[in-house]
Amino acid sequence: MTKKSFLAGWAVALIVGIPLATVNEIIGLIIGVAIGSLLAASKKGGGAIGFLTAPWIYLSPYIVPLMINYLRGNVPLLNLLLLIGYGLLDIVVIIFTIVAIILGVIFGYIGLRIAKKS
Amino acid sequence: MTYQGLKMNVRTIFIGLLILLLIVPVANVSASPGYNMTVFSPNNVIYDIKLLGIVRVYNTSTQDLMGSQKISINGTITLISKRIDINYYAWGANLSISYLVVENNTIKSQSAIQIPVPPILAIKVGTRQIYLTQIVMDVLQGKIENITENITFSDIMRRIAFNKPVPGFYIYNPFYIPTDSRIGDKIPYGFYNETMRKGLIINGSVIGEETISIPEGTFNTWLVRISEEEVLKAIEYFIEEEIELPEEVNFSLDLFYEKQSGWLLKGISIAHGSGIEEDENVTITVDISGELELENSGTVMIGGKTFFDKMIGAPPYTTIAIESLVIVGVLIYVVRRRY
Repeated sequence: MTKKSFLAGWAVALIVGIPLATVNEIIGLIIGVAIGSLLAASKKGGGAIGFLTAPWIYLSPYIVPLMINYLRGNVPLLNLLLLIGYGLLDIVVIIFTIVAIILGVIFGYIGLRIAKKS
Repeated sequence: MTYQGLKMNVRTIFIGLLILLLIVPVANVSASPGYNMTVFSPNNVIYDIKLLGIVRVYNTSTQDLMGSQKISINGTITLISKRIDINYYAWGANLSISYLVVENNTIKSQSAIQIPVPPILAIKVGTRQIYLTQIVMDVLQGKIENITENITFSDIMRRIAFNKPVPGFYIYNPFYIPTDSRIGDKIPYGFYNETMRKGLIINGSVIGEETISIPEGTFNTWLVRISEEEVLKAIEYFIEEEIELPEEVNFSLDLFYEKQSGWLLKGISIAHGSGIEEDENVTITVDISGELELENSGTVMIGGKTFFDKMIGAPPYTTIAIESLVIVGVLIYVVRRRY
């Protein structure tokens, strides 16, 4: 894994994961982390991508529209903070982050094997 | 790359895709046939609400208007949601409402309020059932009133983090219907107590198709009508007693659901009632009308458009097509790159 492949994997995980998450957040999370980790091509890099991107992808359908609404002036700041704070306080976010780390390690390893065989 | 190397890579990619295919069905247990996947998790879905109630008092003999009171409520409701476990989503809302009370053409009171309701109602995926969550039950049972020595701030935080649906009682979700609905189908509304095996269930009927226009465009919809006979029948069954409404009472509720997603686009309700108070020689009439209209469909895929398609003004499925191209591009790059 190079620094460049890790950064590319991290960016691709978010680019692929967030739009898919608006349809179904678990599908977005799995596909985003898997593709990002394949690109990072290392177990450590894949795990780190899973850890760093999972909460963002998983909560994006909840947080992104709230932020857009706030920027358009439809939601006051206090309401925005209350709703985001409530969203973050969730044990499921931690569970899915752990799942994403495991998934990242698996796909990072697959990416590494492909890279070595090429 | 040699032929042998390419064969090995294809095999590895195949194993990877197989793992994905095994995981996705588990994750997507929600994609129940009959429902669009996105209706269970609405975010940034905005409805305009208009409610108008007018009470008029007439002199029965002369038919002169003796007094009137008008209450109007206008506002928006923004739906938000987040998953609480594999089978449930929690729904909340941000309410922005203003009301005006006019008595005999004089403004008596007016106010505007903003209420954020965190996601505390649990929607069971693949159904129209809304369950209460533990935190709602705690509030209803008076377990959470004030932060005291028994209930600390950290205790409330813990309850929020571990909030779970409470089985036993559910409400039918009025915001969506199955996508395979047809004319003549019955759509249930109301609530049901699973423990007591009893509930107030009002059956709406799919009576036709309509093309309606909302700020986001023109859509084909199913028209579901709830008539006063159905409401009366449900109440009679619930209270186990026959009730008779005066002839002067009329009620109808029309709900328009987009065909492709089954999502509610518009709701129109009209109610009229009048009665004579013989002792006081007055006739009282009550007129109530309400309208709910979708202003923004947010993350719900209405007309096949995803949230990002709507944001950038692209045709349906554009984001999914771009995503697929990015995925294929990354996979080709991963197979072909060399260290």
